[in-house]
Amino acid sequence: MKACLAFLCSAGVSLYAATGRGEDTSDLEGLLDESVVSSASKTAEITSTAPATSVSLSADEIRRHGIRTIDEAINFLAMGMQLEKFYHASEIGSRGVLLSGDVGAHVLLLVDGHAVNEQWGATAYYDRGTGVPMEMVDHIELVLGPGSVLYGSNAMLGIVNIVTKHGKDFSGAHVVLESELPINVRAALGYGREFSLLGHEADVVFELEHFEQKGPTLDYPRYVAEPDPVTGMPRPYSNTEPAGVWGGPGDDASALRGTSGYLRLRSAGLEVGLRGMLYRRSHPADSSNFDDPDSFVRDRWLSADVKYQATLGALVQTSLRLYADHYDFRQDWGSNGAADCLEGQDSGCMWRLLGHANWAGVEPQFSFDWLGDRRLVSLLGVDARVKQVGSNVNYYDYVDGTSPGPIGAFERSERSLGAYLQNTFWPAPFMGFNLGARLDADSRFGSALSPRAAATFVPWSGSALKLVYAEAFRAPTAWDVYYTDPRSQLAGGDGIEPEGVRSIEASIEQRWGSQRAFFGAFRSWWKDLVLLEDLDDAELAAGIASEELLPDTASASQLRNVSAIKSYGFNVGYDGSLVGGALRYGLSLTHALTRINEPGGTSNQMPVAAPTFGNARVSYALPHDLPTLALAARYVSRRPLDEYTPDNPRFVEPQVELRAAVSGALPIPGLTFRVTANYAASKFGPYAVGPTPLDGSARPLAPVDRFRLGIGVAYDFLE
Amino acid sequence: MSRQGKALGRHTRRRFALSVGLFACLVGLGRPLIADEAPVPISLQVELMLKVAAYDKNLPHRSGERIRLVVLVKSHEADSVRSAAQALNALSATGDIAGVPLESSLLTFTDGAALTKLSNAGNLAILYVTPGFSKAEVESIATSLEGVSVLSVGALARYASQGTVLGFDLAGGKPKLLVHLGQAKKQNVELSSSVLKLMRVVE
Repeated sequence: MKACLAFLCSAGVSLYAATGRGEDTSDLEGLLDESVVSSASKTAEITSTAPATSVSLSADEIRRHGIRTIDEAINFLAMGMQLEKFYHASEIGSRGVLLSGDVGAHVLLLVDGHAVNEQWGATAYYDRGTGVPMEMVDHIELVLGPGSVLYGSNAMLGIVNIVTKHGKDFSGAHVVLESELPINVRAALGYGREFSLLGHEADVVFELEHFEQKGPTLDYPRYVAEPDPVTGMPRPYSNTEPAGVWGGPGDDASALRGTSGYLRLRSAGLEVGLRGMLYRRSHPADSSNFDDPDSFVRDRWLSADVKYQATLGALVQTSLRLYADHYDFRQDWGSNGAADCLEGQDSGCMWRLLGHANWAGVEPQFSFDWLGDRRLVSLLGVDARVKQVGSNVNYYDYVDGTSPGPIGAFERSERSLGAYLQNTFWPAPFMGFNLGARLDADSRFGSALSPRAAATFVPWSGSALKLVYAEAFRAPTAWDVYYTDPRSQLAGGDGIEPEGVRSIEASIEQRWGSQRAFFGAFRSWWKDLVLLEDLDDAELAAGIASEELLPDTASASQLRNVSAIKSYGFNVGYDGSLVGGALRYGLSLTHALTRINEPGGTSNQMPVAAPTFGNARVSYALPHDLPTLALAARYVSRRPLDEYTPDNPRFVEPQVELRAAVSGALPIPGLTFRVTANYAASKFGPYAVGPTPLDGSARPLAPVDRFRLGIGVAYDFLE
Repeated sequence: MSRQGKALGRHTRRRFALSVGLFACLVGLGRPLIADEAPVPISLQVELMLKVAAYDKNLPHRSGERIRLVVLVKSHEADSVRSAAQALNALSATGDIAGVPLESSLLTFTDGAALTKLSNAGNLAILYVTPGFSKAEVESIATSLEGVSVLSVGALARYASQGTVLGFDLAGGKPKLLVHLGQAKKQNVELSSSVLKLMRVVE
């Protein structure tokens, strides 16, 4: 206790001494705290003048708070976006809109400008499945609001761009070993250096990491569930409980394994990026059985990106980007219930979904600097892409392991072409405009136009007023368009249009010294959201007549553009630093009123989406070789469950998460450590799990891992 | 594969070959085309440069009634010309440094001797070196400014290690100031410890 008091006293004295000494450099510190981003306009600019609300999370802030994944970084450090833990994955939302179950398809995830969202289901992960080791992350850029104007599909809620370090900032070899005791371990090996390549400056960075998790073992309430509707008998949900009983300790299926690597080479205008990821996870409640270790989800990614930038003259710059990606997906979803399986599979089955996508493209881009001083710049680009997507579903009988054959199988070759033009004009240093549009044509869905208009005013020093209008879309996925099941589902087909969103926003930002405040208000309108709709009698009859459905089909559904969302609200942010940047702090708050219109005209609250969320954080780098202390908190308000309907208006209580981190150097040169502690005040997340209880009571809520202690060490072999 | 698939495959291969060819041409054009853009936006560099200059204890002695800032440009380097125009545009919005009027002008680089002559005539308090200069050229600029009281500022990070007193880098999405202490001493630039604390020392 005495040692602790002495430590706090010394920290306080050093803080006092540091703040009261020397000349006032807060103006300079403030400028050095300006974030430079490039995601909003594909041009390096400071956040306050970017043509969208932009947030940048630096490697320093990420390191101070011992952040391990992108979702943690966004939840504890960012403004306007938030993620909900869903099984082992995270669901991303922004400014009051979160579409549960979308596997990240409404936010465009970029890694060094390369789109991660794959072409089969538009999947992108923000948890352990991102596939970019955190040590390599230089900063993370968030663009809030529609951003399809330069990037095309998926940027409806916004853009997350992970920018990796250069060799100079990742110099030498790095070994990392860390664990959240006792459930997981992560090992990583990285290397970075600057060198000369054919007489030009060059640098390379790469890292390989492996992550393995078993647990946590969380208790799910035991209850008797309704009998199987096909056999009328109690369904055996697990090997450890009597037939008909669901729940218990989830200690077998809670597992996660990920291996990934990323390499980036830069030299004289040439940039090469290679990324690979294998990600497998299972969860006690992520199948029709309970705690079934044979049920899992696996994703594999392989990406290559080559870009060359050149200056063609004082007025013209150009770049050419070639890229190629492979993605495949497998989900094994086990069920001991006949109702989930094909006719005759009364003892249950393993439902296996396989999906894959291969795509490659070329993106030439030209930048015309009409006045030669970047005041009037046109950016013109074309993104041409070829894609191959495919998928099938099999039901493997638990008794003999056989499948009668694939259902909903498809293989398609597709093409898409996107062309964009953006004009940036700063007629005076205090006034700038950004006008742009992108037209996407795709053999899968037709075409979509995504305009954007932004005006920025700098009425006085350190300020920025912004007005932005933007539209964005999400292309229907291959699954939306092609998947069909002759027993229950028609393919979405040509009838599915891209989902669309348009938004307006106004914001004001003010910097004074090293302090910065932000306030923004927004309103957005979403249309043509895709939902599964039941067929009426005439449609069912037509489906049977066209032999798309089996003759005895009693009911069926189809994915259609039937839903819409309206949302409005505000963002508030404040951040700053003192003591030459040693003390850093910030907070953010987002509040939104969001209504989703279901088919039939009813207007409901949006499941899982929190109306209010925010965070607060503070960190202090103690002088000399003393450690850095950091504390962060996150708040998410009361929100509707994923199964929310007006007839079943269930909510989960607010969540407060606390995170403390201590990091610093150990006495051995090159060796550093970090210790983190996470605490969640609420026991549950906004997801109902398990089958319908026999007694008619509500389904239980998914428990959350409430406390976790993490330790890690890293050894840097500096060159 | 269907007939349509085969046709698509042929077109795809042709397009891909064309793209690779175009890419190879671009890369093959070589050195003169390579972009040498500053990672830190020029307007932000100018703001930082002026702020740091205000902390230079010897700036009042060397500037007199008017601070003369020269933007050094290489006339045949597109990135240099464009950056110089940006810098002058940003400087036009600034009237003074710490109350002393600021006068900005453009100078086309010929050799180090011309710089020495300019500075000896008392026409140079701050020198801003735009992108596009080779290592040898930056080193020659540094050599020519030794013993001259002037704050030299480089638009690229490598310039600081090659001999400008200040340079700019980008890390963590934020600008970083780099300082060459040896060159600062040779050029009579004196910054307080509280300002130096905010910089990364490269030499």
